Amino acid sequence: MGTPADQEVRLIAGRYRLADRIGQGGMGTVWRAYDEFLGRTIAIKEIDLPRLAEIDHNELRERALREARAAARITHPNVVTVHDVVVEDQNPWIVMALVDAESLAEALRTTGPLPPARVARIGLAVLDALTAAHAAGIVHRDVKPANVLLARDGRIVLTDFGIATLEGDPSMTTAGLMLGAPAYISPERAAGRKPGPASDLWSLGATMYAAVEGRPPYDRESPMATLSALMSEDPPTPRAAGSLTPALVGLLQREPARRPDAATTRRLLTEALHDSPEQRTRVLPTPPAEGPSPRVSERTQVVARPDPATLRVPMAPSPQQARPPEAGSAAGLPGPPGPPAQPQPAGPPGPPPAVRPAGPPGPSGPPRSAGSPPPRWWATQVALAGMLPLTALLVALGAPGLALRVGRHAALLPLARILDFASWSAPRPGSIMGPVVLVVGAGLLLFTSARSTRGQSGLLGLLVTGWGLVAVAGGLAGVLLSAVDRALGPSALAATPRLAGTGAALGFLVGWLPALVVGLVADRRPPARRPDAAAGPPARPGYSPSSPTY
Amino acid sequence: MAFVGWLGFVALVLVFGNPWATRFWASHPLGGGVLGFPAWSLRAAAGAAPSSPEVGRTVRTVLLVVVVGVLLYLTARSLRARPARLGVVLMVWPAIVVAAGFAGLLAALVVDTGLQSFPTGSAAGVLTEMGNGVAYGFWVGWLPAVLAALLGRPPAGIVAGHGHPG
Repeated sequence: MGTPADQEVRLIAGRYRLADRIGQGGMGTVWRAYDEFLGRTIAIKEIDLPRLAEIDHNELRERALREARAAARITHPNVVTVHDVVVEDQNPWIVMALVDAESLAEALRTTGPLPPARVARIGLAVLDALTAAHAAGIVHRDVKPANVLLARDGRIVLTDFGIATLEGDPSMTTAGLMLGAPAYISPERAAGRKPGPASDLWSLGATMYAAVEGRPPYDRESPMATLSALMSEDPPTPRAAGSLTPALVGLLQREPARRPDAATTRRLLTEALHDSPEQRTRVLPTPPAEGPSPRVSERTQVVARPDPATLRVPMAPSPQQARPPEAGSAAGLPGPPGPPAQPQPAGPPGPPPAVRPAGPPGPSGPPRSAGSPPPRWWATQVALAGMLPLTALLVALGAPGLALRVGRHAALLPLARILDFASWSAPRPGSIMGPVVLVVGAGLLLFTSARSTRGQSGLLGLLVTGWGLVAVAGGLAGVLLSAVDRALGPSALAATPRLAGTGAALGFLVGWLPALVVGLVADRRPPARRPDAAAGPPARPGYSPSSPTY
Repeated sequence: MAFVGWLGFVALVLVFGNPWATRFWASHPLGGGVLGFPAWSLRAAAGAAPSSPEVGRTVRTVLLVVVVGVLLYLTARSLRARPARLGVVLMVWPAIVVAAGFAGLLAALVVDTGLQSFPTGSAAGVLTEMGNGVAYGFWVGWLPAVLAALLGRPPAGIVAGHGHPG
């Protein structure tokens, strides 16, 4: 590795003149350098192998070269471009495009957690980069905030490709080394299993979690404690993620097979962007990107609707943005930094996005964190949606004489017995109790279910659960009726299973209709319990929700 | 989560449905006709006549186990996020009740020959088997549901199509 004393004269591979050190990572040092042949400024990263001397040096170098060459094949606007890989002093040097940027880690350190919509945009960009890499057979293995660059021109770039893949080398395992930040590596990687694309998606989830919550999901006092927690504990439920919660919870599944794939993740992030209350957004087709990137034409990106007020005031770089890149940043655009990017109108200007919706949210309002139950009024609405059709059905089926008439047909005798349970007008004492208890019980169960499943069940789940809950309510009503019968008369305990079975069967027969109504009502996402919390943290000074990200 | 619930259900079927237990429940005032619903017999697999009650009951039991498994799987897949434990109970138990009702219906329609006095597919047979299935699901379904809530890992935050119940 070069030193400050010789950096001004050091020439790598006879053409790259080192200028100044702009980054220092666990695997090496990043320099700003000048390409004497092409006359441009580039970033060059030295893979610092001497620090790994106890490992087979040659094998590691070959692997680093192989992986770097593979990364060089990825041409994608969200991936830092690798121009060249050279060997100098037996160490690989990776020549990359210089990106004028600060890392996401720096941004979090200086400004704190980001709003969910902003994080969703970053996540989409990184996901695009990872998708391109995975399609090329490359697993990044070191996705973390320090490797996500937020360029001054609005681009979001994933860097350090191919470097952390050294970790998968058997010799590294033998040496007992763990490369990468423990807080962002996946459980399977920590367990020594071979990481795949799902491992990168975990790291993406952990990165977004850190961006929105201000700390990684496994934030312990030491790397070992972090790894231990990673191996044994479930990640904490996000609190400030708002609409981003489903994506985070999904990506941070401990079992790789349970994580959503890239396409689903993209959909979740896009939904999070659309559902985010702090921004008004719309989907625009992606402008053509430089280089052969067949995926680009298929992508869509979400661009914030510009705020007219913001458009009138050009965005000036903050003092933090104006200073040169520091350690952890990867680089700057060739030549001196140009003027700050101007927000471009993406369509007709809408109302100012910074104004959050006031008052109680509607039924299709902002999604609520999966960790907290939906509001009581919403669960009550769900319960009533089931109780009303159930009541109507039972009133009809329990009409005077219906069970008797049905029972005249021998083939329908079992049905007559079931209908008798619903007979609210039968001459026996307390006959109305059966249907009333069934309806009330179903309402209570639906309410409890809506609250305890946190409104996160899909339509099919709602149908099955609603239907079955009505049947369960019928069974419970039968148990209760049997107990009352025993208290009032000589009814035997043996009647309980029969009566409960009859009640459950009645619930099964009629439960499909309430379940259907419940499904239609509850399949709409429950609203945020606390609109202010779901809206995410207040906008930070210097951050404009209307700033186009791309 | 769904897998644990299904395993618990299978365990109950094995316990309550074996030939000795079936004989016991048949004569027991509390369990008659309900807990003995999913009966199975090794004789059925060992070459009993296809129309024999053993084969019919065993096929019905297999149907029950399969339908419960499928419905639990589909229900768990539709989850978008991890429910609370009570939510798991109130999801698995109803799913078992509904699945058992459907299994009873299917059994009555296609495999009930020789099981009871009703001819296969008759209205009375269908209603009786459906009722028995629902009653069985109601009486035993809470136990796998509690097991799933205590031991299962819900597919939290997984969008439909990507959740693996387990």
